Amino acid sequence: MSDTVVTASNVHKNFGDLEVLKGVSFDVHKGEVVVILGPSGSGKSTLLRCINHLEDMETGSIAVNGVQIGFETKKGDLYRAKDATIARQRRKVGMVFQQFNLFQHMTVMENLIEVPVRLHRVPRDKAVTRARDLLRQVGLDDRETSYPRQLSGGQQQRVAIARALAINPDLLLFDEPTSALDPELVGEVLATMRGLADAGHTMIVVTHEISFARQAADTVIFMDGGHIIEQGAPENVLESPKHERTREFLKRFLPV
Amino acid sequence: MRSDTQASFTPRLHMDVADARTHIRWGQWVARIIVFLVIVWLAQFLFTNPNFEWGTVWAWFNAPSIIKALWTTLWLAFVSMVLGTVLGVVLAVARMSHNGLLNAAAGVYIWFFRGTPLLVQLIFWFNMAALLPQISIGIPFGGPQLIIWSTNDLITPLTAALLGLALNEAAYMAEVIRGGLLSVDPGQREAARAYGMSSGQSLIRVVLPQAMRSIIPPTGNQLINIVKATSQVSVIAMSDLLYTVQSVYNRTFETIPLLLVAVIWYLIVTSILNVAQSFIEDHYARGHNSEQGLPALLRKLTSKHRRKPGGAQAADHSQARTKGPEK
Repeated sequence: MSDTVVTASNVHKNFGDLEVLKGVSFDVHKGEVVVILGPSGSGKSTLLRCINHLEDMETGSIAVNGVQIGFETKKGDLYRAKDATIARQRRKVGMVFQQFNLFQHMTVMENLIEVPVRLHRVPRDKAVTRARDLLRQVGLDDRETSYPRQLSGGQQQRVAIARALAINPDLLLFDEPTSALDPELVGEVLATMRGLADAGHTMIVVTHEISFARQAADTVIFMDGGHIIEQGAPENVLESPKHERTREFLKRFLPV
Repeated sequence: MRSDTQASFTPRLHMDVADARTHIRWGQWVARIIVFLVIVWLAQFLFTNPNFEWGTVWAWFNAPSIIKALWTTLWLAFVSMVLGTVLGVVLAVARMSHNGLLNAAAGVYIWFFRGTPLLVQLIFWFNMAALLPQISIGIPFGGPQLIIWSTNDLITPLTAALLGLALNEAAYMAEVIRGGLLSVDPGQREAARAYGMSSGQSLIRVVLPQAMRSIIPPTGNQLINIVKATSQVSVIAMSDLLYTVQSVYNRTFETIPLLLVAVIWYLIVTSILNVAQSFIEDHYARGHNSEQGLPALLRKLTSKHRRKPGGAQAADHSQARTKGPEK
């Protein structure tokens, strides 16, 4: 399909002797929200990090908008790309981390304009205007001069989401975005993410929030032991899972 | 019975704690008296012992030759510190690189220069000509030489002092900087990487500014150390502060007063550096406490409230303290 954003095929990844991904393939289309669920150690975060080459992989291929991040072709041969090339390849992929990873020595505003101004050569005033829009969108327009440490975890994660949007990404990656938050702060971050899904962003979300998958996902991928066990629309995977391991996993999250 | 037990645990009288008295702490008073006596004895020693010759101290204190020597000391310390820091950054990055040979080479450098006394290094550099009579630029391993210098012309007391101090300082600064870089949360580097920064951009824009917070205090120590370490260049006849007072008292035999001149100047310089350090520390504490611009020392004097450590509490009060949104 021409509107495919991510194509992953037969991805294998080892950490030493441990095989964490054992041949994973999937496609993500433009505007699609994919939620990856699975028990801890199932390889879902590693898979996400392979997409923008934060992790290298052993075999297989992943392409984002036709570009294999971390590699380049010369005269038909595939080469490992140089650092500068990899850096350029990553510039349209936004990432939101479990621990927020906002730049601690920069204010909220500086966090939002750093990458657009320094790397994408956006004029500073344009970047600032755009950042103010995004802060309003995530409900933090009164916090642009605060430092990350002065914000709650939920606020920091919303700033981190705004930072990801500031680069006008083709793809947004979320690595357990609510796992480090106090329970009462999870809601505000999930609400922000639902807004992005409704706005048509292409998103891959690794999470434990089944409710988010139910409400926002177009596709749910369930992983276990380095394999994709089953994938499909949330109503199929979550309400009538075909595989025993999916049923086992979901049972733990059922409201009692 | 319940009412009985309750009654037996209730003090008979409720007295306001505001009226509570304090026991006299005898140990504290003994310590105070001892310290006081030591101070009195020291003062008497300083002011009544004629061998200090305070008049001579003040006569020489700002003599032109002493001031010139002081500038030499300051200049030497400053240039060695700058060169040492630049080389230290290179060594620290090399020491953390995945390139095994680079890593090992930096390790050996640090091992060698930290493992031998500065005094020995200085004398070694000064006598370089005995080891290498000529220094040349050309094709190594027997190729033609393009430019040739006599080592004796190149190695003056000044170049030997700079080489010794800067190369030695680099080894220490490399460890200070490496420690600072390691103290930054790896998530910061990862975020920089994920957003398309090269490793150089990530180092300069993200990691180093945050590492500075833990690099500055030991660097302040290093700077104070190097100001004092410059006195060792007196052995290679570099006319720094110590060498100059030595050459004066070798003539006039006013040994103690002239040493005091040096001591007082060293103390003045290191005290100024201490104050400067607290200003710089505050600059790099950005994002770690909400008040800025005032060094900790001044802030303690101007603020009634103690600074709260950590950011957790700061989050609740930050809105009142930080500047409001620009509008």
